[in-house]
Amino acid sequence: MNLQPLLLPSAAIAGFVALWYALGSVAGILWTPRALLIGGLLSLAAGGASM
Amino acid sequence: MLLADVMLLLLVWLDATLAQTVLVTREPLSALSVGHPGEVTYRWTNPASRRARLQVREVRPDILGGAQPPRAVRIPPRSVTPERVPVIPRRRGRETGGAGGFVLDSIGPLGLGRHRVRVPLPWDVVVYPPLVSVRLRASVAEALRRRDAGIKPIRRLGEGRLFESLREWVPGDDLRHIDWKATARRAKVITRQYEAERRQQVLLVLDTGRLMTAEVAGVARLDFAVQAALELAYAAAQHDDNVGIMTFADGVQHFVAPERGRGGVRRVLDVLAEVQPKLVEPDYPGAFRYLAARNRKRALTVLFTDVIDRFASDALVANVATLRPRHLPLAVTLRNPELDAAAAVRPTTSRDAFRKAAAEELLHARDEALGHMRRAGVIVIDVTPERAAQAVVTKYLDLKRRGTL
Repeated sequence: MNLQPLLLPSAAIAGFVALWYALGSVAGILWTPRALLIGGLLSLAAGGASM
Repeated sequence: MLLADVMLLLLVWLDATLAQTVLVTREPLSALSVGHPGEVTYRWTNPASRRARLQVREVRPDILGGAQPPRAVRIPPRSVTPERVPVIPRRRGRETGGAGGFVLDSIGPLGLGRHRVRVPLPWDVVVYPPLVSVRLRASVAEALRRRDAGIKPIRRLGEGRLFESLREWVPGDDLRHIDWKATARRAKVITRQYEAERRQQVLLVLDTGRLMTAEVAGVARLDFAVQAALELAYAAAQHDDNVGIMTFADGVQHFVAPERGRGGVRRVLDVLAEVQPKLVEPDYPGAFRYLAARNRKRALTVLFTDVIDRFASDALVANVATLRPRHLPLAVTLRNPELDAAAAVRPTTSRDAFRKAAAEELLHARDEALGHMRRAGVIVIDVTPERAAQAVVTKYLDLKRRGTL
């Protein structure tokens, strides 16, 4: 099984999480449940469109 | 998809940065006491022209319950909103300038991002022991009832140092009591007549050493002693006696000389609010030396402590007995209900039998120590912690009625 194609997206997600963690803990910028919901809906929409 | 996500991120960021900054202050608190919910008022100030939406997590000192569940606060634009929040003190104690504050999540206008800030707001609060307990009311009512029931203080002329009147000197009167000015005015020998002082001293002495750290039904023994001392202080103030307090463990922690009325009770209360048990061996000789040096006037000296056996309590017995004859020592010792129950059980297994034997041995050793104390002239009240307050107030009233003090 070739994991190479997953490497870049995983690094991007990890970088995003780390960035947002740093922002949250230092600058105090956080998501609200509403933003998370919108983000989830966007992902579902994108998944539906690609299928 | 990527564009939408980036847009969302930017919106969250922008929304959070647009969230309102608010100010919060706390109004000074009235006195709090254990078991009685109080109320604290916060004033939220929103200087901006948009409504502020906050998710508030409050952190209080441990004595007031620690971290609180989050709550929502809405503040209209350019306004100050008062917020009244209940406070249920968990235990007595004092907190000055230490813990306390808020974690504020200010939600942006779109509701997508929030800006978190920590606002320190230290507490300056004293939580007193339960002040208006049913038992306290009952004991004060009882004290008043007895006082109003026609029990009048007996005038005992010739004793004490309270001036009562002048009269003609008769052979046998103390020459030191002759009033020479009155004698010169009346051209006959006049003597001063004294009566026993009615206002007496009650000194509460709390041992806060290792014996008082043990718990009975989840409550430290010292807390029972604190409650008993408090009720006795109230009862004594009701009878116009002066009340003072000393607490000690491996050294003297607090000393308040006996004072009259509400002022005396308030100072005693301040000490009782913050006294805590320590896992150290109490220094009885040091404490009683200090007491002898600081309190020379005759006082009912009520010692709240505990004993294990005669040898372990030798220092206590030897020192408490030195209070006599100047003072009237009264020792309040708190029984262990679990030990009593273990000694009273009818054993069905060998384990029960061993437990019963051990409990009986401990109780016997304790009785021996208390007997030793009684023989040394100390009045001893040995009661369960729950009954300590009632018993000590009853004993005080009895001593007052009999004029023993």
